[in-house]
Amino acid sequence: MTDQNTTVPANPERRERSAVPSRWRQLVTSPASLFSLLVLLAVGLSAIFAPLLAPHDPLAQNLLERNMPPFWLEGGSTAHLLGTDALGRDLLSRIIYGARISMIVGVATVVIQTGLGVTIGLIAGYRRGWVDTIFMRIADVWLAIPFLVLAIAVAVLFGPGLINTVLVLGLVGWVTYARVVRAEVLSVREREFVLAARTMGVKAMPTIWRHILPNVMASILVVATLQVSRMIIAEASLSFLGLGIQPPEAAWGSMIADGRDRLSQQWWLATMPGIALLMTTLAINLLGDTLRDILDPKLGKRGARP
Amino acid sequence: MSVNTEPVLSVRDLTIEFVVPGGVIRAVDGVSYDLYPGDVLGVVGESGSGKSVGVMSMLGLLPSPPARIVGGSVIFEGQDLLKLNRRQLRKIRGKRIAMVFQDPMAALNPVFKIGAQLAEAIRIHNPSATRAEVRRRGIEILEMVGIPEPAARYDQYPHQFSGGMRQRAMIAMAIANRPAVLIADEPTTALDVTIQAQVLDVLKTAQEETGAAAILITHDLGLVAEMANRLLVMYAGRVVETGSIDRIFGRPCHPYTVGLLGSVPRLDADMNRLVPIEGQPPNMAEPPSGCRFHPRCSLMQGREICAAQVPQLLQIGPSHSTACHFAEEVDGLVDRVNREMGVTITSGDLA
Repeated sequence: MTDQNTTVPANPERRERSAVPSRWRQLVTSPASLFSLLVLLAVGLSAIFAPLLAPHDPLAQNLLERNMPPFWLEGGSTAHLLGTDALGRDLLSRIIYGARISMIVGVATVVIQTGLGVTIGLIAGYRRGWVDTIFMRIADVWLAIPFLVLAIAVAVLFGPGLINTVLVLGLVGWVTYARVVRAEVLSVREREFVLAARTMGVKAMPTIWRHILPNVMASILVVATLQVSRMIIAEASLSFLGLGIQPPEAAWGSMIADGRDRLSQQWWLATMPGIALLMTTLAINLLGDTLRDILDPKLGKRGARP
Repeated sequence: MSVNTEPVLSVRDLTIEFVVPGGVIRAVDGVSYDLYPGDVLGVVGESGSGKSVGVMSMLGLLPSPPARIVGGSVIFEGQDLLKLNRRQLRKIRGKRIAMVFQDPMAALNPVFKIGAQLAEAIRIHNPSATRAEVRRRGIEILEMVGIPEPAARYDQYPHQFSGGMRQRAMIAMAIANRPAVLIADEPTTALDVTIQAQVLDVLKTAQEETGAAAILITHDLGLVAEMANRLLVMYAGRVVETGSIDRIFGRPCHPYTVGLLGSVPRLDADMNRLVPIEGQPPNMAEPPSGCRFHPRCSLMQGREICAAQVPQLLQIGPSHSTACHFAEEVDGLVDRVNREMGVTITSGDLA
């Protein structure tokens, strides 16, 4: 903004300007969200720079160094910080590469779900009538089937593998978005600026796209964030059951499955990827909560005054 | 304002019903009026008298169901708006007929800059305009409606505007395409009294500069007196009196109009108190028989015809019509109301 702006009565503007960053500052000032940002940064960097960060090839077997414990236990070595599995593969490297799978699956499925669910929600909410009824009844039926059961059924149909897992989870999870978005659209479409847009002769699609979607964006963002963690767990579950990522590819779910039989002897085999999974999803959920507080001013105020 | 020219908008027997659980509500019942170029027609009436519904229907903006247009016609530029399909209507909305809403905060999209919304209004009906042209035109209109530093304001969000400026921005969007008819639905109700006058000025200037005819929907008679040159008084979905402002304010010929005028403080005359209209607006699900105003009317005095027969809207003077069985007695009522109000000087002409 230029100097001439000072002549404009700018009081509300100034308050607004300082208010906006302060709300976003919560992201780094609140301990929970700072923690989640750091964890997600670590996981994200691991996913992107896995080949640079991993000390070993995650698929390289070394039968001489099988079942090594983490370095702080007797028999451990700093060459394999978190130990090795039954085939002598470095656990840390596998977890780092596993982050890659989890992130790809988490983000890609959520992109598919968002695209599908938001589109359906927008159309159902704006058109109402029979379009709405049909979509929402499908959604009801969809919800009546437990998510994982449905995912397993579709996964069996599609077959395992990374791309199929993403597709399966993406196609199965649209309902949450569709319902949230539809509910919001029902309220936004009644607001006067939508009517005003129609009075100006704006067509239906541009009205939805330009006037309604931006006003439901906040909810979508929160749902999508929380959904990333659900999808990471879902992928881990599918991999755990052998329907997701296939060995020898390192995915956290299948690593937990591999280590499950050896919990009594080599507990770290299942525990370490389990911790990685736990921390990642926890961080995402905490971040989602903070985002909701920031994006919903009413909630934010209540949260600020304990 | 000459009566000899063709009306730009001609409404005939417009009848609109709402289907609600438990019945049908006739919100607008056989309303007819003409709007001439350059005219400002004030439509006044209580809440629920069908003021807004009537104009919303002609733009196809009523949700249907529950609303349905039962009959009538709205002739605009040679075509019946009620018979147009959605696409044809869309070409008229915002381009030939534009609307200013009551609450400018609600009517502006909070997530877009004022300029973007203005640009949208311009671009819809001028798809070939370049970005720079649209911007120039947008800033020009903002300046026209009296927004200081329009170029800087163009890139601000609605929340950075004050209430009055938001309403100016709304007016800017409405006149962006130089409409033939400008509809203002309670344009100042949501504003501070001090801002109302400014916004009215802007509206009036905008209307005069674009040469648009305007329909001003309001329940504020002061507003009508200031802005309009013709008046349409509605009660329970029907027109009860219509005519020029001077005529009606000087010599109202319907008891309801008299009641409305009696409930407004006047500055042109000394007065001691206001005389409110007794009773409540009718329940539109079961409107009173005959003249719908009869249960509240002080002229009825038990006469049967009021409850039995719907009074016709009859011309009683040059461009002045009223729907009352006993219109000739209204003068006496005016005197009585004036006495009750303690008005000592009766100025014949408010406007």
